[in-house]
Amino acid sequence: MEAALTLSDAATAALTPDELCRRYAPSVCRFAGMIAGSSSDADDLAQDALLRAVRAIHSYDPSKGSPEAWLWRIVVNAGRDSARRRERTRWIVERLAFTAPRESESVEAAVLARLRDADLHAQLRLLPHRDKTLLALRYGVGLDTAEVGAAVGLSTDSTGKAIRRALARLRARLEVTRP
Amino acid sequence: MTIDALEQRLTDLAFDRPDAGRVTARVLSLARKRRRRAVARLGALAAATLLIAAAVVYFVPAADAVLADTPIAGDLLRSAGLTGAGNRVTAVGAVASSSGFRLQLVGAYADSTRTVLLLRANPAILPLGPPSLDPQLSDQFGRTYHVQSELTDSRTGQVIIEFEALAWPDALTGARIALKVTTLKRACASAPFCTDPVSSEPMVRGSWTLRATVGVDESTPLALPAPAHLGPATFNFTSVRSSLATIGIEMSVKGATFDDLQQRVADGRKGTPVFTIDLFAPNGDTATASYSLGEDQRGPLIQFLGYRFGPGNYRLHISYRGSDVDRLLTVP
Repeated sequence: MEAALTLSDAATAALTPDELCRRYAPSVCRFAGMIAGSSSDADDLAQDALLRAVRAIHSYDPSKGSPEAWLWRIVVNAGRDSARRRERTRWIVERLAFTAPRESESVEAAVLARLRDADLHAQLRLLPHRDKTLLALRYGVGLDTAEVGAAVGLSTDSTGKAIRRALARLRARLEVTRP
Repeated sequence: MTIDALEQRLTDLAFDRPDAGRVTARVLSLARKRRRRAVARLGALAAATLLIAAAVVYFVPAADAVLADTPIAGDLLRSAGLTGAGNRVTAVGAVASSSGFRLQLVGAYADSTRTVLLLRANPAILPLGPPSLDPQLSDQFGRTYHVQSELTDSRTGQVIIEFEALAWPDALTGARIALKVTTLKRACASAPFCTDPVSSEPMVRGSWTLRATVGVDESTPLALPAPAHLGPATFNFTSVRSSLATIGIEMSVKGATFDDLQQRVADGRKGTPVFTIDLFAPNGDTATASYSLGEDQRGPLIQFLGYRFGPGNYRLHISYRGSDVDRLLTVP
């Protein structure tokens, strides 16, 4: 389990499981907290994702990409597995609550101005898993579009479009639920 | 413009998230820990106990010549999971002698999940083993209770027998219990250098009856942890209780059948169980006693028994089909 991982940006630095956790646990926890449906689910997801990464650390091949891209693919897969378990029972609610994206800048601006973080987070959590994964990676973790694409298996262009669509769907939800 | 505003709100969004330090500690702990094999069930426990006892007989030939006149050893108390019970272990002292064997019921402990008897045998004995040689435990209402496990130390003659929990209303009234034993198995069955060698017949017939009055330590309900989602299965906690010496956990399972939980993945040896459950004390020591799988019309049921060594946060670790999860139990 102590296998070394060579960083692409610091060839001399070997990444141990401790170092992996030290570097990335905060980002993984933020990602998990952003997309998971509850705090206990977030705990489970963060632990599962990091544990998968630590246990697979020997499989990382620097010639195939950066450690960040490798890690986020693992995290995204863990998130997808977690979501599959829950969405079996939630899909009807998702369908009923789904509203087609609409463009209404003035309304959105008014809503955003009054929206509390907790409400925004709640609406984010109700998005389809793929949408909230994209938004969490882009805005929660701070990856750029290309990095998000690498994590979810899309081209940069497609990722940019997918993020826009996800934002539009979030906007639509905010409109529907505005006070 | 509006997209920018929303993007900015998402970038600055404040929300509860897992504590990175705590998650890191758990991950590193789990990663370093070897995958545990399944909890030894009663049969395996009995077999292991026999092996240990035989090994002790072999390597300590004179150990069973004299019964050590000492209190129940701390390690046996730990094996019985009674270190947390403190002074709730009732001192008994009842003695019965027959066929040259002397049994003394030194102490007893009972709570809502188990009944533990601490005995001393002279000469030392081996675990009796099911099914026909089980000692019989009955209460004042004539009800009998099954043996769950036995543990002996042939160096000292100390014996721990764990029975199922006493039934209602013993918890209210206390219980007058009677232990009846009709067969013992000598600890020196095969070693030629034993001080009391037995060539062919290790069994000793006789009649030993030991009586005691014990109180029943009531357990208190604890907060139920969140369900654990592992692969296709969801483990729902239906009851978590703690007494001074025992932590009892009951769960129901959705998304997996009784047979699914019993499966083993081929590994070239005995196979690795797809489902494991373990309890760890606040200091990291294992606190698992046993667990059993049952089933009703709604699906599998799990009854888990752990040892309470003292108050603190106990970590319940569940794994199923390559996924695992921890749940913390705050035990007062």
